Amino acid sequence: VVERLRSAPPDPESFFAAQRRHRRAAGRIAVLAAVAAIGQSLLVATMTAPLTFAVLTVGLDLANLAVPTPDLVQAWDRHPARLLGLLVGAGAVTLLVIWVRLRAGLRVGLAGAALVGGARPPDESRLDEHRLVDVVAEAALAAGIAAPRIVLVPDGMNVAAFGTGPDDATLIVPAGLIARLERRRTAAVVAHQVASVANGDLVVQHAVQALPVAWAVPARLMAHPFSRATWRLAGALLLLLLGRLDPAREAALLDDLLTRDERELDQQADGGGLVPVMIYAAWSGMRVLGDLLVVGPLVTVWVRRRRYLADATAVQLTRDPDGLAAALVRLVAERGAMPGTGSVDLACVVRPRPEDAKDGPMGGLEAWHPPTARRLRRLEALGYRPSDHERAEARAVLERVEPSARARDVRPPTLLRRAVGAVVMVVVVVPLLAVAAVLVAAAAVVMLWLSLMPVVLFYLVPVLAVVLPLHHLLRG
Amino acid sequence: MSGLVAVVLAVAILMVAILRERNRLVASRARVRAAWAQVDAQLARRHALVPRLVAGVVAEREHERQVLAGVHRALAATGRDGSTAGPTAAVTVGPVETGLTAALLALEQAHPRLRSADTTLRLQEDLLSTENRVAAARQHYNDTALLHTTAVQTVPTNLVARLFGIGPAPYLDLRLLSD
Repeated sequence: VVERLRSAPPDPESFFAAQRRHRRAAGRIAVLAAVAAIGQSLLVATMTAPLTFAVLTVGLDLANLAVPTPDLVQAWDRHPARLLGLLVGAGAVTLLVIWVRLRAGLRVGLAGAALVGGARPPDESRLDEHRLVDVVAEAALAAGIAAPRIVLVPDGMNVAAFGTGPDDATLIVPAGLIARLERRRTAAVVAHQVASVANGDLVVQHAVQALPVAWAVPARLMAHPFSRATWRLAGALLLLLLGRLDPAREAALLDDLLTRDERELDQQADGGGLVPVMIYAAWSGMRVLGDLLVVGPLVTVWVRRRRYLADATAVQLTRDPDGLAAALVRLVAERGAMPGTGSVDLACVVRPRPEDAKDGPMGGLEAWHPPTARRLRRLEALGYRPSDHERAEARAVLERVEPSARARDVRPPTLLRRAVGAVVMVVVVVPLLAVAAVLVAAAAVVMLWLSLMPVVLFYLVPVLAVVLPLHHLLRG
Repeated sequence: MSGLVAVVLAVAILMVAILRERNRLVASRARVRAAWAQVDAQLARRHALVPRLVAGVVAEREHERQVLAGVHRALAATGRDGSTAGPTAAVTVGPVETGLTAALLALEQAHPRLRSADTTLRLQEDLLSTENRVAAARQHYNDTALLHTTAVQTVPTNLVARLFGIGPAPYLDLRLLSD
């Protein structure tokens, strides 16, 4: 009895209770992330205020030829603060519209990168693919949603989900996975993704992918309004919104908008003008401070919560926590390989970690997936009972593939360690974190505004040089 | 005056809250019914599918068995080294072999990659999945019924449920199934 008690999980709970808990926690984080994203959007709107000013002024002046409209240049003389508020508001609304349209337009998102070569529907005359179709149908029945479409890609050891919602979902399954994983574990992995789809995670994925893209669009337009790359980008965006962009190009577009800033900046610094460099410097500063330090971590925590939630829901669907845990370990052991670029991560069951991949400066904290050791521990609370052998195997795999996640997470903690941990958490970590968060937030706000203002002023000069003569011409 | 406004506001908020809860309960009842319909659909699928699956495999096996039996007979009629016992035997064996070859070819063409082992595996998979689907549909029904019944019977939604006559959902157990 003592032995059984000792190996018992820390907090046995039902999957329903776990789901409720994760849902609530994710909801709280979502609110914080939304507030941070709104703050970031206001910064972007401030940065683009000169552009908004130019567009609005010329637009109103043109309209003035037919109907009397307010004169923004005069308004600038009388109420500069009020006009700035108006411009930021207009910019924010424009961003909101771009974001909403992008969400509607994205169909495969970053997962499209996995579809580049050799994707095909399953061939039911082959036993293993027939079995996969069955397994997906079973999970969907248990979740009460329509069975997602299936796309097979040649090789890998992961499963990705994409689509716009529970009624329009597709699973990307590597043929290598169904060839090497037995039915029970395939069912567990598929159940995780079906659970994620049924929980509405695709909606989350869309929002997460569309947000930085919406921010990047105005920065591109401002920095290189006349370059050919910008027009290609605009064309691709238009095709995206019309729903005529094929998956691979959609993924390439997203990848481009999300990751190209730094390279672009380097090229500009070599031979470009001062204004684009300033804009990209401010843009990069904003990305680092706002996007990566404030919005990014919140969204990451949110997405991780949704992973835990999908794990708990998968246990509800299969009633097989052992199968899911074993499958996770197996997938991690093969480094969760998935075709396509690294940006497919968000859609995958486990984090793809190619051999040569290194953790970023954040030491793996920036990953979309929680450390596998933590997921295993939460599965233990839902009934996963590893044998000593399985535990040792899991630990060996995790030490090899996820060395930054501490191995002690695999062992269930003793009561004493949990008590000490709780005390340390409340007395030391939480106040420290709170202080650090306040400091970081304050510093971020100050530095952002300091770096933004010169950009806005610099950009205002060429904009005014074009807009003012036009304005005087139109207003007579 | 402001007291009246406060009362009206409070009543309005209460009404909205009640209607919201009612809508959620109705939605959850609809989910329970949809889940039940899915159980029915899966049971019907099993009822229609299993005999056909088994019959198909049995027929295929029977065909294979006949062909194999024919091969055995033909082999028995020939000698070990392929010689026949005599001209008369050769005459009787010849047509049998010709027919057998045709049958083997037909088998091969009808199922280019299937052998009976594969057919059996496929039958196993189909049966397993059929049972799994029925179980999954039942499980989904019971999960949905659990959440619905919990909502109907816990404070404060139980008041709303009673007000609008929304009852708990029965669980699916063996007694219900045998009806």
